[in-house]
Amino acid sequence: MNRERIAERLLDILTADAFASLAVARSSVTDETSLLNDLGFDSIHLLDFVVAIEHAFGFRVSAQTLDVEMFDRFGRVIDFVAAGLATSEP
Amino acid sequence: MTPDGTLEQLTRYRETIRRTWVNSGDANTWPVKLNAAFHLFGREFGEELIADIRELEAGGRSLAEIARPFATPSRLYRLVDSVIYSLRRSRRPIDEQRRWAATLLDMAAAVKHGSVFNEDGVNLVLGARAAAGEFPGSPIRTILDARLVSRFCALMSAYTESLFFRAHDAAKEVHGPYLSDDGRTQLVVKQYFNLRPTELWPEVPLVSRDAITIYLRYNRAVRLKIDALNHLSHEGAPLVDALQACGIEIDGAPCPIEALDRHFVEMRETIGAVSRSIDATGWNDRVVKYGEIFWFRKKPLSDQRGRDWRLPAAVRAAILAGAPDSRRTAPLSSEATARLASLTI
Repeated sequence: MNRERIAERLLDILTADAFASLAVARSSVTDETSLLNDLGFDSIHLLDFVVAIEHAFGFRVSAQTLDVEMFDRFGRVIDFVAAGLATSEP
Repeated sequence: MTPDGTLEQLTRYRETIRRTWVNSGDANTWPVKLNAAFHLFGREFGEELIADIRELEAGGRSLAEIARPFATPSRLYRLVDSVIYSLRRSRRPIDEQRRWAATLLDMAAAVKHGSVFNEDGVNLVLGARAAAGEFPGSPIRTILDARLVSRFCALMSAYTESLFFRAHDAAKEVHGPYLSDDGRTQLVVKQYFNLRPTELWPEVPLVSRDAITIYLRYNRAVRLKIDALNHLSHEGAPLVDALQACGIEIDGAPCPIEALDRHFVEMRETIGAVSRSIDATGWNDRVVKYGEIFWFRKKPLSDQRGRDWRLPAAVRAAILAGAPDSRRTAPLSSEATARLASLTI
């Protein structure tokens, strides 16, 4: 799956009902967008987002691989998912 | 950009809280679940705490000098996550969150010896020489004495948790184990302070003493560990079997084991009165009390600035008008708790 497709699916998650309280506008999110500072993620949003990524992309995220910095830029989340897909693919 | 040394320090911090949070779980709900209430005062708490430290540093004090009135490291270590979550609520950059976490860790390190993270299970507040001389106790004569001391320690913990809820670091530090010179015994010190916080609990009869220190000398048949968040755990022999000697000081004066009865009665009365007082209030008033306790935790900073330490009126009003965060009322799974710890900083 290429970066653009990953980004689209991540935006699907961010604009779904589970994150409705954040009122994320799809067009406003770029690689540089911080989920924490720009979108207003709190710790529970982060946990929910990780679970949503697992469901959407079909790989497990271990607690040890998580780092808050990866949510500081949307582009880093894309990289994280790409890396997760690469290691989980047969 | 966060310096490499700070990143390494924060990785170690993250690991300590991950281990502790997973072990202790997320189900503590008395008198309210703190995680479901913190949004009502957490941001202001962290902002004020940072403003206090900045102001004191600007006045020429070093971090070690600012830390000294806290006296014990857990009071500072256990503030770190509160400050991080405060800064996050204020949408401050991660680098800034990390700088302040590192600052508080440096302050905690300034009031202890050895690693601030207690990776080896040792929390050294006293220096080796002081610890060697620090034992005003006498041998345990019978198993009944050992059990009495054990019950007294448990009651002290219940007392501090009753008055300070989960912020009982404001009244308690467990330190050691300090090995004796011959390596055959180990000393654990249970230090309790702020036992009469009349400003927090004006309506409750409090004990008549301010500070109690319990010195416990164990043989090596029990393996004792104190984690970075100041939880004492043990493996091997039961504590009461391994206890060889004990000393109790109340406001600096020795107290024989046989004189403990009066203190049991006093403390049980207070615990009961706090419980009744809490039962008579609603959720918002309980959170106000939590807020007051949090501001009490940072009182050493307010005192150094010569300012009123009490919960600001605006924060009190916001708490009284607020509601629980419904997403945090249910306990997190252990996996979610581990993830939360990894995502803290």
